[in-house]
Formats: sequence, C-alpha cells, structure tokens
Amino acid sequence: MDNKYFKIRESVDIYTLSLGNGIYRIQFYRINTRERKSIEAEEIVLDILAIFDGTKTIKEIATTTNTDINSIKNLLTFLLNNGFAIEVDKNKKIDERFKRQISFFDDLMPNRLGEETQELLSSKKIVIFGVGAVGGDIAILLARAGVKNFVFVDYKKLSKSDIVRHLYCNTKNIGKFKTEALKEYILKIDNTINIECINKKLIPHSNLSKFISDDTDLVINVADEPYIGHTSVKIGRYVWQKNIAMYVAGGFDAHSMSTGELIIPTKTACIDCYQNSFKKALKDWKPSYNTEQKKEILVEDDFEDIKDIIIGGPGSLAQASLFSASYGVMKIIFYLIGLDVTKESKRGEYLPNRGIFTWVDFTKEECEICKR
Amino acid sequence: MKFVKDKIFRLRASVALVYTNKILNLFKTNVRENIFLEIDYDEIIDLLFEFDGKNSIEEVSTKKNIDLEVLINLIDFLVKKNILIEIDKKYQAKLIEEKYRLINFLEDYCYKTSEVLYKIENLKTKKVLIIGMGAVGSWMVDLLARDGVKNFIIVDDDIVEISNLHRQDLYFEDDIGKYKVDCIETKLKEINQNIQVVKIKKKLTKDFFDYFNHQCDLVINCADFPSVDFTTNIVGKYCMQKNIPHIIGGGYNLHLTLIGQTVLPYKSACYKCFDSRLKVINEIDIKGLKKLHREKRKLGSFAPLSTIAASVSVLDAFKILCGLDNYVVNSSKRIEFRIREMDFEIMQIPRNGNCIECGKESICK
Repeated sequence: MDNKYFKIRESVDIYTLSLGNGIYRIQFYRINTRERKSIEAEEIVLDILAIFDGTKTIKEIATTTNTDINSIKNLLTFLLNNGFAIEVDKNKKIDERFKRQISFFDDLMPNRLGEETQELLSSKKIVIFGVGAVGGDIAILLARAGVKNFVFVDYKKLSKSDIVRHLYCNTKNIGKFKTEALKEYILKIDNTINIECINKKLIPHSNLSKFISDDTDLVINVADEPYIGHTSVKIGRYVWQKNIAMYVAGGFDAHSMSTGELIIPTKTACIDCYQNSFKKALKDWKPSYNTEQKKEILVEDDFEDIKDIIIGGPGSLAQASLFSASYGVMKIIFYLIGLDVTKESKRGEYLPNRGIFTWVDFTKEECEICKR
Repeated sequence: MKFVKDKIFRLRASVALVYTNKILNLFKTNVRENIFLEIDYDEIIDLLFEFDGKNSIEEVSTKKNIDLEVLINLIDFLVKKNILIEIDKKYQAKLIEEKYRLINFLEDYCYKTSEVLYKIENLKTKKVLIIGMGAVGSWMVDLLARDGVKNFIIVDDDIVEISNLHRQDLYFEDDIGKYKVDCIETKLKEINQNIQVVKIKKKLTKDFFDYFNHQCDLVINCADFPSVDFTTNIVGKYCMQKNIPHIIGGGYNLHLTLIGQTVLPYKSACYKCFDSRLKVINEIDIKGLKKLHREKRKLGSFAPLSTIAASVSVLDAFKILCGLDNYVVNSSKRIEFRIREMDFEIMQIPRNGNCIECGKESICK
C-alpha cells in the first residue's frame, strides 16, 4: 500500500474551520449529492489532504509532510470507506477523450471506477427510430458521450427548413437522407463509431426484427408519423418481449420541450399501460384545431412547396429540441450504466414562459399486456 | 389606415379548442397554456373558425349575425391572449418553407403577422457577444445561429483538444489543434454564409473591456478562467454600466448543474444582488468554514447537463433579442438542475434595493 497512489475525488469539497489550539473541524462535502461528513483533526491533516491528488505515493506524502505513515494510512482508510478518495492506477492509460466524463462518472457512481462505466457505455447498441431534430440531437449527444454502436431509421431527406432545428443539418447536406447525413456528422466526431442506416418508413406491418437486432440495448422512438403513440405501441410491444428497453422521446409537436418515458421490461409500466393511462386521461378531451388552410389566402406568392405546412401550427426552436434531447440523454445514459433513474413513470412538460416543469404521473394500471 | 371592422384575423392552428358546459377551453399547445372562458354561445367554435385569414371582422359579424362591437371586444381579448393573430401582412412562401417552426413559435408572442416578420428581420441586425466557447458557449452559438442571429463576437484563446469532444459542440476530430473561434466561424458559415463573426483570441482579463469597442445587444458569459466568479464580475460590471442584458451561462462555483441567470439591467437582480444574497445564504450554510485549496483538481463534466443549461439560456437569449423581455424566465433566480431528482430547484433572488451596482444609491441611473 505504501507505494500506491490515491486521490481525493474531484467532486468532494473540503471545508475547514479552526477550533483553536491547532485543532480543525474538516468537512467533506459531495458537491453533486450534497452529502457531508465532518471530522476533527490537527492542522497537519489539512496539509496532507491538500496534496492527496494522485501524484504522490502514501510513502511520499508521509515524507513530504513529515508524518508517520501509519497516521496517513488511518486517514486514508477513513477517506476510502466514505468514498471521498479513490486509488489512482498510474499504469493505466488515461483516456484523454473522456477523462472529464470519467471523472463525473466516478462521482456519480462511487462503487464503480469511472473507466469501467465509460467502457460499459461504449459497448452499448442503440436503435433510433426518427433522426429529426430531437432524434438527431440525442444521437449526437450519445456519440459524443462515447456510445459506439447505432442504427438510424428514417426515410426522410433533409430539407431547407431543417436547418432551424437539426444540429447536424447545414447548407451542404440538404437533400441527403437524414440517416446518412447524421452518420457523416457523427463519424467526424469519432470515426470508430459503427452506424447502420435504414432509410425506410415504419409501417404497421413492418417486420421489426429487420430493424432491431436481439443484441440491442435500447430503442429510442422519436418517430412521430403518423403519431408517436402508434409507433411506440408497435415498437414497445416488440421490445418488451425481447427484454429490450425503450425510450419514447419528448419534444414533438405540442410537446416541444417535454421529457420522454423510459420503459424497462418487467420493471416499469409497459407501453400499453402508458397508452391506456393517456386514453383515460384524455377521454373527455376532444379538441378542434383550425388546420384547414387555404394557402393562397395566407401566402404572398407561389405556395406549391408549402402545401403541407400548417401556418400558425406547431412551432419550435433548436433550443427546445436540444432541451428535450438533453433530458432524454441523461435518462438514457443513467439507464445504460445501471443507475437507478428517478421519475421513470412521469412525464414533464417544460413551460417556456414559466421556466418550470409540470409533471404528469402515470400510476401503475392493471394491464392485460404486461400483467403487472 | 384601416378601419377596425375591415381587419382580418386568423385563428391560430396550434390552439386546441374545447367547448363544454358553457366553458370554452383554449389550450395553446406550443407554450402549453390554458385559457378558460365562460361563454353562453353554442356556436363559439364555429364562430372562431370563421377567422380563416380571409374574412374581415365585418364579414364575420354579418355572416354569424353578431353585434359588431361585441365581436370586436371578443377579438381584442383573444388577440391579447395570442389565440387570434391579425393578418396585416402576408408571409412569403420562401420564408415559410425555411422557417415555419420559428414563425409558428413567434406567433405565440405577437399580435400581428407584421410583428412576426419584424422580429425575424430584426434578429438579423442583433449582435451577440459570447465569451468562452466551451461546454456551454459552443452549443449556445450554434442554437442562436439557427434561430436567425447573424452577428456574433466570440471570445476564446483556446485550441481544440481531444478532451473537448465529449461535451462541446461544433468541434470534430479534424479540428484538434485549431483555434476554437476559427472552427466555430467555419461551422457557422455552413449554417448560413451571411453570418458575420468577429473573433477575439483572448482570455477575459480584468482589462478586457478597456480594449473592446464593439456595440452589442446581448452578452453571454461562459468563461470560467480563473473562476466563474471572476469572469462574472468583469462581465456584470461592464454590462451594468452599458445597460446591456446579459446571461451568465454555465457552471458557477464548481457547480456543473447550475443554470446561468439572465440579467436585465435595473429590472432584475444583477451580479451584485446575487453576490450579496448568496453570501448570506452561504454563511448560514457554512459559517466560518474555509475551503481547502487543492492545486491539481480537475472536475468532471457531462454533456447533457451543459446542454440543458445552454438550451434554457438560449431560450431567454432569443426572447431578449426579439424584444420579449417580459417572457424571460431565468432572471432573479438561482436555478439548479438536480441530477438525482431530474428536476430544477429554484431559489428566488430578488433585486437588492441597497445594491451597490443597481440599487438606489448606485451612480448609474
């Protein structure tokens, strides 16, 4: 042990308070979870803690601070037991690309090395149905975070209007298949990522085994045609049997800044539970929308190219899509690395004019499909 | 000059209408707001559907046999609630084709179509200064460019490193070793070749603004060297003097999870109001405690947290640039995203009447 390296976790703050007579109260504070613990010690302990940064061995720390090595070991035992310190493997090559994220994981899951969490994440395989604004942002964030295997499903091509919200769309790739353009973009981030593109539309009799291989870890559904509820039921029932989790993303029309739902077989409510609670909640809600429009009235000039666009209809911005995607990616990564995700059965709608979430709770229903 | 009765309105397609038990429920789906109206008129939805962008008020009044004045009062109310919008200018097909989602979003904040068009045009003339092109700033500049902002001043003296790629936008493997501001300029030009970028390859030092002589409409601080407190003070002071709205984006005091606050000078809490308030709160929290300085500390970071902060801040930035200050949501608040709870925690930080920067006694205003 004498020749090993240890460091105080990056995410632990240390506060000190002089109690007089050379005695200090030392408070350890986990900045992300706000847990704290205090000890009382002599001043020398402050000097030791200040250089507990993984660059010196226990023996070297003892020499530098002119302290008995056994006292250092006692302190170290306390730090390790409380998860305030970790061992640093000097021989291990530091993953330069992900070191800051690894450090975050270190703190997020104190019982596992951040490097292992990173490796686990990189081994995952994700299928995304619909790589539009939200789906594309999710893919980009996951790729940047180190997920290495993707399948993108989308039959659409990028059009001019996509520049407003698709972060991978620019004047150079308009006209390309969304899947191919996104693939190109992501390979520029990391050219070792494996990406399969399927330029097909999901239809009621699509054979899902052609899209979702059994080794898939998570399916993300952002396909909102004809309606996200319909595609989610089809995909959701299939993956439930296959014991594959599904994330139904938010951020679609009328829910431009919503969170999504993570559905984990046998653990959470199934897609039918969700659909049934939606149906129940919206039983008496039969709204009308003024969507019949005569474009020649509303538009100055040639309206041929915009006949499918609803003026005054669903509106959104790039920041709204990125917001929904970010929330989703956080939930997705936490699930993939085995962290208990809170708010599993809740959907949040961020209110852009109030700056808060409102939450809808999906209580567990008696469900025929998942037999909860 | 148009008579009121000749004005033309459109019932906005994003509004959901339900009429039951004499209550009209109008749900604005884009901003998720409900309006309830008690109204004893069974044909109310049919009536509202008459506002198709063609019929004038008078024509609707005649067709539905409703008193003109009563109708005008109703319209007035519904326009103020952004249910109806006056069509005083037609949109161009090309603009709709390229920006219909943006137009539809803006319609929730405008009374007339000409206002929507004005805001879109006006965005092009606005100039935004962003300091720090890291985990928050890089995403913000990308988003603002897509919103239609055309003039940027970006400040950063860093070059792209491999360790940036996991959380920062617009940088790719091929960019490693290049200046961040150069990479950003290239990427922004690909979004729109008319975007103008002034690049400043400098750190934000105490004397930064002594040599800065650009006009700008919004300042966003995402610089954290040597600390966020340090950069916030420099930016805060300058912007308060010049009366420029500013956003302090990104982490604060080693808090990755903090959402930057928006400051509307002399209207919302300024950096000094925050300072004095947080000092009181922190004192209760850690009375007499001193932080142990650790030289080689390198904190963790996680992209989705940065992008939540960036997206929420850009929503405020967009509102400010469109003259929608009343809709800004991140001012006079300390907002933190709690990872374990996956929700925001909000603490109100009101303006301090005795603030040395923006209070009664201050020199400015």
